[in-house]
Amino acid sequence: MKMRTLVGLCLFSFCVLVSATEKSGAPSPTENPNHRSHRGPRSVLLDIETGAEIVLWKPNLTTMPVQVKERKVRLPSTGMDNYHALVATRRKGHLVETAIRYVYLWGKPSGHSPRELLAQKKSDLEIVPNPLPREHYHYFSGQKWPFLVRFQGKPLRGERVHLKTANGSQLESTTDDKGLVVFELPDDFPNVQEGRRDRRNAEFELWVSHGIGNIEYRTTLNASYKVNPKHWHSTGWGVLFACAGFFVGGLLGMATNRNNPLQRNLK
Amino acid sequence: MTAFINLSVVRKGVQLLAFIFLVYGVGVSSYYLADKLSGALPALSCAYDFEGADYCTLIPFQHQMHHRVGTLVAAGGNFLEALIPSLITLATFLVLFVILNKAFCGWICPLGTFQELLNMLGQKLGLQQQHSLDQRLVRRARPAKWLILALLVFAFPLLTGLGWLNHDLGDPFCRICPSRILTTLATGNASQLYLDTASTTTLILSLIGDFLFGLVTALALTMRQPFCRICPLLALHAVFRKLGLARLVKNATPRCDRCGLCVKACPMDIAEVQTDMKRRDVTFEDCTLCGRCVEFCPDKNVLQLKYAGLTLFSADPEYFKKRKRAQKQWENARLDTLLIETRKAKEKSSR
Repeated sequence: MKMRTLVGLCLFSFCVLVSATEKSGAPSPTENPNHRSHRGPRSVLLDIETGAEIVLWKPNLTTMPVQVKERKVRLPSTGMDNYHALVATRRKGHLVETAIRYVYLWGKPSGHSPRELLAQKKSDLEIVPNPLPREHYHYFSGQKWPFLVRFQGKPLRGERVHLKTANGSQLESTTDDKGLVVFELPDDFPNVQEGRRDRRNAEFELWVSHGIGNIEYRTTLNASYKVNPKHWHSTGWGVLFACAGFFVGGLLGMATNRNNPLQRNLK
Repeated sequence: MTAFINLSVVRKGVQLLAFIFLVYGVGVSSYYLADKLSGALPALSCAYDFEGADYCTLIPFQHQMHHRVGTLVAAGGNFLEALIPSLITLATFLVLFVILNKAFCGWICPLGTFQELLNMLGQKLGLQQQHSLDQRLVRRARPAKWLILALLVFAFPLLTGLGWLNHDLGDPFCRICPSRILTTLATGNASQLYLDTASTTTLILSLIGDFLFGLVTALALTMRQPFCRICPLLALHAVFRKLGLARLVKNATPRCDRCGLCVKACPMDIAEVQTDMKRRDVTFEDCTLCGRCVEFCPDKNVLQLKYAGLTLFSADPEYFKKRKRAQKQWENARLDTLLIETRKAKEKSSR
């Protein structure tokens, strides 16, 4: 039963977030090869297409329908900067499934905080990042992140939440009295070389199910996470160089003091 | 006026409140950048500090030069259109800047407060203080802030956006800014004190950043405001200082020539406050509007802090006498002398 649930849930979720240029391979000739422009439409793959109703929540809490073609969800440019929520819902008999992904789209400042989008009820059962990674920040491996499980807008306590990463890790935890669950994202990228930058990212997926009467609610939350920079950031060396600066500063202070004619006059 | 009530004490109180607010004030705004108060603060409050209430204007400037202006121009876009976000940031900065002018440095900046507190600590520990720096050194250091502003805040990020420099030079000032390390450490987060071995560029920048933080910390124990002298935000302030409502005003008298107490009191060693006998507005490029020169001016109304033409604080002989006495009392209260006296008292009682 558990295995079937896993397979079923994994089928109904958003996966690898790709921009149009990423999908086609090489960046377009007009683009700076160091960084692609983040603006304009983007695409997200939906694992299953049939019967799903998909909406895009904008930062100002208005929604717009989204088109799906061959499992590819094309996100139009909303002209608004900040997080948007892509929500797919499918009702099949006694089963209500939801897949949510928070997508950062670029544009003019929306004047709205991601707090508003997170507080908004977007489906009966949902996993809400609490908080989302701050703007221009990411989920990184090895970091602890809290998530809130809500049912009909209220925290759901004692519910089993599952986490699976594209690198093969699986975790489980139970929500506390406030409906919160904290996961440490596994530091599970293979072949990470210490001291060398690693720009890889991978997908992770959280899911939970909850039954009321004969209706089964299931929801997934997808996001991507990156290799933690601690693999090429050395705090020990940082402290050492700060100490070296402190030592030189001390010497410099003494030397400036000695050479300062005003100071000599004081003596 | 008692020893504990004077302009400097009031300023310290404001500085501490501003420090707490800007470094730990996440509850007032929120964790998200969209909720921060302005996103273009004219003081070095860092966005890398997730607990802060606001962040400095140099971050969006670098970001926009890199990701907006440079990228759009490289793609053949309209330069003026690309500049719009930067102009919005500048307008936000100016709205705030007009209110306090360069007092953002002397009254609000967390890094400025940190350096002043360290200097007080150095004095209390009995470390020999440099009350005034050699004017040749002061003059030599002045262009540094303009260079840092032009190169690290605007030119390098822009050239990175254009694709002429490598991606790691997109925010070079943030990578060496001591406020990034200070404000994160102040919240118990050591993640910004690191050596970044990702590339040669990040290695050099992180090394400079760590070294500079240690250097500034040590220098601040014996010298007044070492980093402020090369701070690019001070240079940006200098560009727009004529727009600010707060001003330092001088009504020069022939006695100014022989006095010079204002320069000795000035934490930035601005000799022109004394030597310039023509200008009325003496809010010079390095001035932080701390008001110490006004406090230590012995002649009535020669130096004044004004706001929109109204006099807020004025030099006064009576105030000067009391302030000088208070300063002497403060400087005599040192930890080393206190320890020696305690030890002597203990030895006396044991005998």
